[in-house]
Amino acid sequence: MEDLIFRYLDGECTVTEIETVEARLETDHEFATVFAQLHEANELLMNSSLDMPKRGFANRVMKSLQVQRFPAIQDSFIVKIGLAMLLFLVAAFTLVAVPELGDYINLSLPDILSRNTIVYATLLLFFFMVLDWFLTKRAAKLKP
Amino acid sequence: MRQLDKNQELEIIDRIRNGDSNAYRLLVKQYERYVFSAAMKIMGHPEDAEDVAQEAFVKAFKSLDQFDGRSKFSTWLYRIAINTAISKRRKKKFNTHDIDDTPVRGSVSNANELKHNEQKRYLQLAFNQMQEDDVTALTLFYLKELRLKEIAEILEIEVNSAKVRIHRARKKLALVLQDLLHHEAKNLI
Repeated sequence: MEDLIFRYLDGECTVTEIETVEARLETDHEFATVFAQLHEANELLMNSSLDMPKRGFANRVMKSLQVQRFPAIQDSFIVKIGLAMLLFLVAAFTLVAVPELGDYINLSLPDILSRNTIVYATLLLFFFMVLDWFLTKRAAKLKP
Repeated sequence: MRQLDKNQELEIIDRIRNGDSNAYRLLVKQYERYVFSAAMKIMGHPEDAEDVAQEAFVKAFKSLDQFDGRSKFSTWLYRIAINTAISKRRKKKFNTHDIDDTPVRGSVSNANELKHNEQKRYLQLAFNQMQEDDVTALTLFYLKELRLKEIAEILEIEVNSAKVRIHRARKKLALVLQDLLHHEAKNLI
């Protein structure tokens, strides 16, 4: 019974079914009661227009994207690289400031200098320049 | 706002993937009412609904790389919104807001509007008493732009199961409304 009523309400009935429904509405009290209930619920939902969020909703979404995207990059990438750089610098300066430490860990300052230090330092500098360029570009793209 | 077609949406998504995140605003504008309305029906309160809608849009943006374009963007977005709303509603367990406290947006300028707001309140009261599965099915069914196949996709069930669920939910809603009316009539006497 409900299935027929729903199809009638949704406009999916055949002509014969429409006639059946309309005839039963006249003669069948139980059918008419169920029809009235389902019809009321259907009307209520059909008439419930779309709700509107508060003005400026899209702006708030875009702002929240901006807030959430930047820490994500910082946490996952920049901070790790920053920490690695810091450790590297601390180690290098420790070795320079306390040359005896080099003896202790079996690595003296002249050893370091003799291992193409300038080449490595240049490569490292170049790497950080490229990294800086890449991150700046990416950050500019992500900025909503 | 003019409705975007599927190709335009895919073009916007491509732009976002290529770094133009500002283009996402177009998608937010396009679907804010639908997502908010769906969230509103499930959450029952505008503040909660807005939180859910905002979270859904942010989640969708973050996982845009996972959108493969096989379904419509709206279908994919609604699934995120519905899942977010359901999980929030479960966390809250009960809707702690009294429905009578629910603010009605806009000013009441005439009798029709008053009647409309009253109907909305009545409907929301019924939704608050129903299970979230049923509310979700009804919300999607009456979002107007969705077909049964898309509803099934959002609910991640078969088309026939979706049909059965909607059928069951409509029946339940009728019963709940009947019950509410009965109570209201009793209170008046």
